Amino acid sequence: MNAVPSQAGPDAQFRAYLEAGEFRLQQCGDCNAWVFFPRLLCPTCASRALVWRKVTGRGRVYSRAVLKRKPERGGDHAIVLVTLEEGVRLMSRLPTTAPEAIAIGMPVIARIEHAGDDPPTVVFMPDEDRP
Amino acid sequence: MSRALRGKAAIVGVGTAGCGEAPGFSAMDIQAQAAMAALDEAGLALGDVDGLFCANLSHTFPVLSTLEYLGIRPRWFDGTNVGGSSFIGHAISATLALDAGLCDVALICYGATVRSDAGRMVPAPEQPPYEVPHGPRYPMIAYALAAARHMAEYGTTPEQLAEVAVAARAWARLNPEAFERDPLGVADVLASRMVMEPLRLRDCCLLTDGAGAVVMTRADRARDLPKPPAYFLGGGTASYNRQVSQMPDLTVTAATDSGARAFSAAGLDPADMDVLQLYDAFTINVILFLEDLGFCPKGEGGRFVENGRLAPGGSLPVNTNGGGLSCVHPGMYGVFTMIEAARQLRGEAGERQVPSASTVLCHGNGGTLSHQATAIFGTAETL
Repeated sequence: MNAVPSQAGPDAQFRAYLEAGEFRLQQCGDCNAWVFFPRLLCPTCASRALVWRKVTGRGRVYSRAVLKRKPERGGDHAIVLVTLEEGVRLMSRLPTTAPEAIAIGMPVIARIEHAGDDPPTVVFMPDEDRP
Repeated sequence: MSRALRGKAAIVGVGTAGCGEAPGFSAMDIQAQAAMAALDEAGLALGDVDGLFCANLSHTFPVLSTLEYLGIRPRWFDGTNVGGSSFIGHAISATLALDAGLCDVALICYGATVRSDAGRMVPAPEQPPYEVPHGPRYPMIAYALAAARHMAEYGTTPEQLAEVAVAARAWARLNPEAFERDPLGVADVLASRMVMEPLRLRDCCLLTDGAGAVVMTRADRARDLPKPPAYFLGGGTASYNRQVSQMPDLTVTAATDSGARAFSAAGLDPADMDVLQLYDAFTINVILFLEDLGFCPKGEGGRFVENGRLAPGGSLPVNTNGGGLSCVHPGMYGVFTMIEAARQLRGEAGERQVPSASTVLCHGNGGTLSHQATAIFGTAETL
């Protein structure tokens, strides 16, 4: 069952899945590489046979940086790069975790954040089930 | 890589203007001043310029705005914009265009008044749509993430990062044109405000006004001009990504390829380099580029820069003008690496002169660790 209009481009498809509560990424039907950001061809093998598949959402913090801000400017803001089990990497946040508790290498699990009228985004929280 | 361009062209004039603060003047004003200074040195006139190479962050069509301001009608243009490394790429394509007869006098120039205008780094208006929602601050986020990963993977320390800033300042203290010339020690760097962990204020380049220009001609003409030519010996460029989140390995930049291409084109090795000019937007850049260009093994950059190795009196002079960290950084720095290279190769660098410098490697970084360009210049004896 594909709830996304077939004429939607890859960015709109990705967003529509998130809005439906599903974290899906494209996987190449020819070389099996996972693809992020969404696009119309596989950057590994140039195939155009990309298929949207659910991902586990499991990954690890690849790197972290903390923008230091005064409390009145929103306080310290941690930004991470997460490498998913599928091999792709994305920039994100751990909104419920204190910046000092975020360590490179720590296991994390994705969740979809809906904030106001903004498009949904993929954020992460610590994955307590993995070492 | 082909050595077809080795020695075919040379830098025959360099100029700067408005470095530091240039209130009341526009980017085009100070760029014109730098261009005129470079042409004066070269004994050439504005009307001789028939190849124009520009990139900036302020104009939609930098080459068009520049030629209009200068009142010139070039027959060859290159507005390739891949960030602050663009100008080193321009030197490669200028050599190609000169050698092919597409132009006879190439002007590579840049100017910006970011300090007087906004007082902060104004990032490009288009930024990666899947990064922006998470609140990164560009361009610093990329370098903070790379530094954190390098520290985690190789044990690189804040003290080692600080060594890079301290060496740059020590050189700047010998350069009357440098913007920051007060003494700076490792403890001072470590005591400076944390801006984006793990990078402190003194791990970050300056934000100044400034313009720079480089004039190149074919080698046969260069020999007859007033200044000793800084010959183009070889160059290379490389890029794998635009967004930092798409960088395959945060601790390995495309300088591994741009550098190898430049050394191959020049027929030289890292050990042959007398002086390095490495685009130091942040202290981690210098460590990454020393590794990726082959001056030390991957992961050893932090230990390599210890004990003042890069500073005056050290065994490997790096960023002898004071770099983007202490001399000048008007948003894009690449052209200034070649200006200092020419001055060192001519023996005109005053107190900061590296004795008998005959080869200089210039390396530019563009975007957020996105594009890398390397060019090697040498004196007549290296031909």
